[in-house]
Amino acid sequence: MYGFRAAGPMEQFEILPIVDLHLGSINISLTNSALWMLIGTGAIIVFFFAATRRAALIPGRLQSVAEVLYEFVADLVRDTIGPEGRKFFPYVFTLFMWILVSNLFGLFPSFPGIPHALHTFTPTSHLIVTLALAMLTISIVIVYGFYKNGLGFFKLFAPSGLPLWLMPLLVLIEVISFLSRPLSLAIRLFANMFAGHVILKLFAGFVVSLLGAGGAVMLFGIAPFFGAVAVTALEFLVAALQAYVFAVLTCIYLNDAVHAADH
Amino acid sequence: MRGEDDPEAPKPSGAAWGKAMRASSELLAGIFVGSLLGLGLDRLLGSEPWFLLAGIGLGFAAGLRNLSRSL
Amino acid sequence: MSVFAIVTSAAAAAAEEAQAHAAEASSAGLPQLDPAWWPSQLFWLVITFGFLYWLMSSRFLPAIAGAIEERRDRIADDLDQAGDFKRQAEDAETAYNQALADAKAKAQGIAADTRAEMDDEIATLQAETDAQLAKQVTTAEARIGEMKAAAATKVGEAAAETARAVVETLIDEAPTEEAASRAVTDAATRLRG
Repeated sequence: MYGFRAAGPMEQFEILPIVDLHLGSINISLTNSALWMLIGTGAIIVFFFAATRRAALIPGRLQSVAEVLYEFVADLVRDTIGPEGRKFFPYVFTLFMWILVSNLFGLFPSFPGIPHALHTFTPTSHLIVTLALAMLTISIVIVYGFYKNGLGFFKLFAPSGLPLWLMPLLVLIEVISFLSRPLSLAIRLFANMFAGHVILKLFAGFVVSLLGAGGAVMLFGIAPFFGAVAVTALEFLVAALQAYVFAVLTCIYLNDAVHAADH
Repeated sequence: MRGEDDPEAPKPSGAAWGKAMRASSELLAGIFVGSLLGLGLDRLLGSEPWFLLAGIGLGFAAGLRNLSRSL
Repeated sequence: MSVFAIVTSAAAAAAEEAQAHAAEASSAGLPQLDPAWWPSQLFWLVITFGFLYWLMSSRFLPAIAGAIEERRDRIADDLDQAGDFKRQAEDAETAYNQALADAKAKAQGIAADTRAEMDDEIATLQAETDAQLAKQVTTAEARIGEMKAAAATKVGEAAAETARAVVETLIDEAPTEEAASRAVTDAATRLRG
């Protein structure tokens, strides 16, 4: 019926193998998701390599951008965790950059006509990825928390000034609350990326359908077209914001590990 | 806008979306972790489904706790 | 009307299509919930994230920190140097002001001395002039006195002479000079008295 068909809103999340790889019985194939992880990471590396190639007293354009990013995350870590946060700075910075680039690259439209497996893809639109990042953070918090505070780390779960008989219940709730915070973070990042891409795809599909109808009807494609443009602009904002939110909440979480005994 | 930590969201509907996103993710995460712990204990002790039920309840409470902490 | 119908039908078709896809996806399950691809995603996440972390912590971040640090040091150095220069300038200014004040004081001293000297000189000159003038005045006054006395004598003599002549004319007898002058003197005394 239509001149050209828009892909369904869920198709963009499909994982498609490009090169089949197996490690024992585990499938570690290079997929479109892996491809865009590699492209994103590669872009970050190329950028920082170029930016730090010649560390100049008066920074060039690339070096300025790199320094702005550095100061931005460094300020965040310092303000949230304090001077002790210094050792977590590379982790938070890597996390921020990785998520930011992953979020952003998936928003670019694919070249028409290339195979589906090579279409732009957002690795952070998959819960397993955001969950893994959250789990990594939680592991760091638990390991460092016990290393730094010893058993004082448990103070984190014991709210003060409450009747003793309520304690076991509240400690249980606090433990679950502690464990569910990074999970909530993972769900939020995933859901934002997922919903954003679905909405974008729906708008784009609507535009394509109206344009495909031909004739005067094409004029009615203009409204959703501008809608799609507006949503795309919004998605870029959300992509950056969600990377920032993830970094902020990671810092808050790490702060618990550093200062658990002070509670 | 779905950035819930943004102080100047342009549209109130966007801020509401962000709050809803935040609330649902906190509750979902709490219930998920709670039921997972309950399920694990049940498996360990063969006491299905009691720890699971308790886990869901505690998870819900934990989700509310996180929500109240964040708002 | 027909355009509207086409638009609504197109919109409906698009929505239908979206729904169909959604249904298709949900029937097949969301791609995110398919555990078959989880290991691969985790594997590549670890590879890319780990490699990026290694590069960031060992190379890029120290390089950026170094550049920022170096600039900060350099700026601090420059500020120190500027501070030195400022201090030097301030010292020079103080010295200059001191010299200026000294010179002023000296000039004032000289002016005061000169003025005192001149005052002395003027006073001396004045005194000399005053003395000279006073002497001249005294001399002049003495002369005036003498002249006055002489004039008075002459007037007396003239009066006596005149009186003698008048008397001689009136009585044809000339009184002695002595008598005439005594009479004039008496008359003058009476007139004055």
